[in-house]
Amino acid sequence: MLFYIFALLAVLSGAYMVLTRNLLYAGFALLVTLLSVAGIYVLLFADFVAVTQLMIYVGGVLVLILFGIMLSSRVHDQSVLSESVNKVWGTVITFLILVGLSHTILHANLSALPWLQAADTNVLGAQKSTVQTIGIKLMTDFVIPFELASLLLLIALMGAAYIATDKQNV
Amino acid sequence: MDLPSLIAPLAGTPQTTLALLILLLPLLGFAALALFGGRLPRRGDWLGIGIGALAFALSLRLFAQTWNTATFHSRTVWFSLPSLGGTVTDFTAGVLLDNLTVLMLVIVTFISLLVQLFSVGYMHGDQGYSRYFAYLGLFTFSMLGIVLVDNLLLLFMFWELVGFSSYLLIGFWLERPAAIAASKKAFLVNRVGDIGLLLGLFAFYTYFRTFDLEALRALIGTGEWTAEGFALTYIVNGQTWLVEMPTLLLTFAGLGLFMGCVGKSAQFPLQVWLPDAMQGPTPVSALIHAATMVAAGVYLLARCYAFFTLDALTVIAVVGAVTALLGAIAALTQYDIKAVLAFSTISQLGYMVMGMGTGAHDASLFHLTTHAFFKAALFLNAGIIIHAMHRGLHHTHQPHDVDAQDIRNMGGLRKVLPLTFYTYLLAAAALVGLPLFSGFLSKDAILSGSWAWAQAMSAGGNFLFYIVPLIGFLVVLLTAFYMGRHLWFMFFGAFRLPFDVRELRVSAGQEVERVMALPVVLLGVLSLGVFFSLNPFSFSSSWVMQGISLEQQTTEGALLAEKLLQAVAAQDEANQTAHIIIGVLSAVLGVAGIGLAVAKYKSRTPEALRQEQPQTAFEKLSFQHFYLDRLYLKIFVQPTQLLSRGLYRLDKRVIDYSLNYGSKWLVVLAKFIGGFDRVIVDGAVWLVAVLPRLFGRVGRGLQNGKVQSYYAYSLFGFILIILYILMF
Amino acid sequence: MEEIPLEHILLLSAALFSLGVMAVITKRHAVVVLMGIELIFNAANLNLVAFSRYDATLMQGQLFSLFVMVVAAAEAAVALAIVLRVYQYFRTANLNQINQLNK
Repeated sequence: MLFYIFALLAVLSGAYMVLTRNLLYAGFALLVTLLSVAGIYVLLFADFVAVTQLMIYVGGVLVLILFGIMLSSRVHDQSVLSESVNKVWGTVITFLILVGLSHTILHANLSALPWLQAADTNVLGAQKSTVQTIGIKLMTDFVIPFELASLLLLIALMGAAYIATDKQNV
Repeated sequence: MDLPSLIAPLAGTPQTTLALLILLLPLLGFAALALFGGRLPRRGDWLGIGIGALAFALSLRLFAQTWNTATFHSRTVWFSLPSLGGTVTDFTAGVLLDNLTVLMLVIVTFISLLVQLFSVGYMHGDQGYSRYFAYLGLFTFSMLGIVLVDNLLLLFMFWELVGFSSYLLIGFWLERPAAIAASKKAFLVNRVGDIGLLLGLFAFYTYFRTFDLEALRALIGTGEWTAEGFALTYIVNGQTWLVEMPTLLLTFAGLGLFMGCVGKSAQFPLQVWLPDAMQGPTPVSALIHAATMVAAGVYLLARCYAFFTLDALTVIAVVGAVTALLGAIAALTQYDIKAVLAFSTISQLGYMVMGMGTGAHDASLFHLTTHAFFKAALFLNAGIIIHAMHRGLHHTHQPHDVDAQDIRNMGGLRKVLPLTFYTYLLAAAALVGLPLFSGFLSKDAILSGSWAWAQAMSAGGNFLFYIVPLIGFLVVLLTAFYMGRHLWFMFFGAFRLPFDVRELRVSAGQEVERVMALPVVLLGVLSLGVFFSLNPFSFSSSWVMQGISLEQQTTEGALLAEKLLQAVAAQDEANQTAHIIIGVLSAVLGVAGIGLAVAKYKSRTPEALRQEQPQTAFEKLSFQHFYLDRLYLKIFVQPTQLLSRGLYRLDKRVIDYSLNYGSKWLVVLAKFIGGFDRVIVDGAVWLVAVLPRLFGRVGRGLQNGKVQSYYAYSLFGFILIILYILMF
Repeated sequence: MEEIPLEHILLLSAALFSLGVMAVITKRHAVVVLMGIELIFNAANLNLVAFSRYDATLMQGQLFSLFVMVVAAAEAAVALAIVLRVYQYFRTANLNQINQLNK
């Protein structure tokens, strides 16, 4: 039951984000959506992912976005509003994608898939949390992607800092 | 008879060499004047006159050596042409000196000299002064060439050269359109006659295989009259040729030669060019169109006298008589001083030709000689009068439209120009044929000859032949009348222009320039009969007549019309009393003509004379020269022009039109093809080009540079993939 | 706790995905487009986590979603830096006016 409340909240706030013309409202609508998704993660036995979602998205990306809005708009005048374009096009394509995806999902007959039936759905197992499992996995099986991710973050940090610098003042 | 031996080269003699020198002197003068005339002192007139004087002196010397003493003939092979059978035909050229030649030589050089002398005064200050003397030199050269050469081919060449120099001199005043038109007319009309002459030459050459006059005469002497025509044999290159000619053909050949004479000597029906030729300078009219060149036709008849058949001579006589009558009638009503003389010249030339046709060969040549002197005198006098009139008009500033040559504007000139008057009177008396004057002798001779001819011809009972001598008598009367009228208009009565007649004189004490007076006086004096015959009442004792009679010229039996001429001569011998009657009659007619003219015009007031116009139909007919010019214009000139215009139109309308039309169709076709090209071919190319452009435009529309659009497209593709998966 | 049907989770992720797509396509402001992209990432992550339930021993789905988040964070940082740069350059962040590729 809780899932459907989160799902509804996520979809409604997402729709609001799309439909509103105010950038700040859109940002806060996105915040609600991200929080709802984090809740859904918890319901799906992915507590570490949910926490990470909160920390990265809500704490990082959203703050970045809000900063971006403030830096790229003159908040007090009209340009903080974002006009929509390609409304017909966008709506039609979006609707077609939604229909296509939904159609696929509903006709995929997922419950008949063998590996889903044979899967062990006991995610938590003996532990209370997935943190330990994930920590072991990252340091063993996924150590290379983990290191690469750190490298990627470093590069992104440097690149972003470099790009964002106003070169006329340097 | 062996033909090559007839035309074998003959060695030159001092006389023929001298003649050649005389011939070439004027050519030298022409070349010098044409090349350096403008740069010589006095613009070279002394050169022309000096050469003329030298030629005249040499001619006199030659005359003394040749006249009645010997005949000189030099001949050389001029050029050779390959002919049938691989043989070579020689064309000869040479100089023939006999009585006729030297007589003409003296006449031509003498009158040429006098005319050049006269021109010094007359042409004084003219722009083309040296050109004028050059042309006169060219003319003298050509005329002497006609006289001297011994064969018909060369004669024809000089004949044409004479026509050309005449053309140059008639059109001497290039700035006058009338002069240019007259020169063209003279040239073209002369060409008509020359065609006949050329055809005659070809006919004679075809049968006799030579152009040489002496050889031709000798060949004809060997021929015989047969039932079919004229037959003779000669040997060429060892082959004997028997030539038989139908009489008709010989007649036509002779008439062809006569055609040349008709053109050059202004005989009917080609006499129309001569009155117009008066557009040239007056001394030129005296030299060329009165004394010498127009006499060339008569000279040609005399040279070729042996080649005319009986019928040809009859035609010649009739043409001559008609010309004499027409010319005399036309002269009756002319007002232009030179026109009267021009028609008089035509009339007198008709007289000469008539004399030729009637067998009075020697009388005709005699008349040629006397006519040359008195007509030259008349023309030069007319020149003096015109000159004086111009001077008077110029000094008193008369309007430009007053015609200096119109005798209606003259009158009473006797008092201010006495010398001119008396010389004019002498020459006019000779022209009229009053006793004691040269014209009387020659006219009397022609009349006697024609009378005897009519008697001989009408022996068969046909009295129509008497018309010819009767016309001769009528012309004497008419001549006297128009000369009387002419004299009365110019010299008697009162001066009819509104200024003092004394303005015409050079100065109070001088009538004309001396250089102009001298030739006139000389020629006037030479109009007296005593210079031509010791007995001024009988032509038979004339030294000229005796010198140029047929006996002097021809060998026995060398004439085609031998029989007739013998009959005429016999008849003439028998006409002792008739001679006297004819002489008296012609004198009486002359006096009567003058009397009639004086009677007609004596009572007229000066004003009436000033305003006189042709009144009656006859007078108009006469004044307009029987409308011959208009007739020719209508019959020959206009149809020709019409034809050429028609052909031009045909060209323009039909040929050019169809070409145009064809080209239009081509253009249409081309446009059609062009359209095809444009629509189909170019269209295909255009389509090839435009389709990519269309697609490109669509593609460019898609490629609008907006990231969101690209994203939308890719998603659209994604949808299509989903659809594909779902459907299949 | 009752079992959440897999289809429902997938439908939710499809809906979020569609909303993200719509934001990306129709919004004129670059930052809102970035938000749409984040939404799409979240939809993808939701799928990963949902399927990760059937892989209890390895938990590859959850791990992968973690990497996605890291990459998304890096992407967001760089993208926002670019947006700022674009804004400095063009004096606008309006994607409709930034069509330099078409020139």
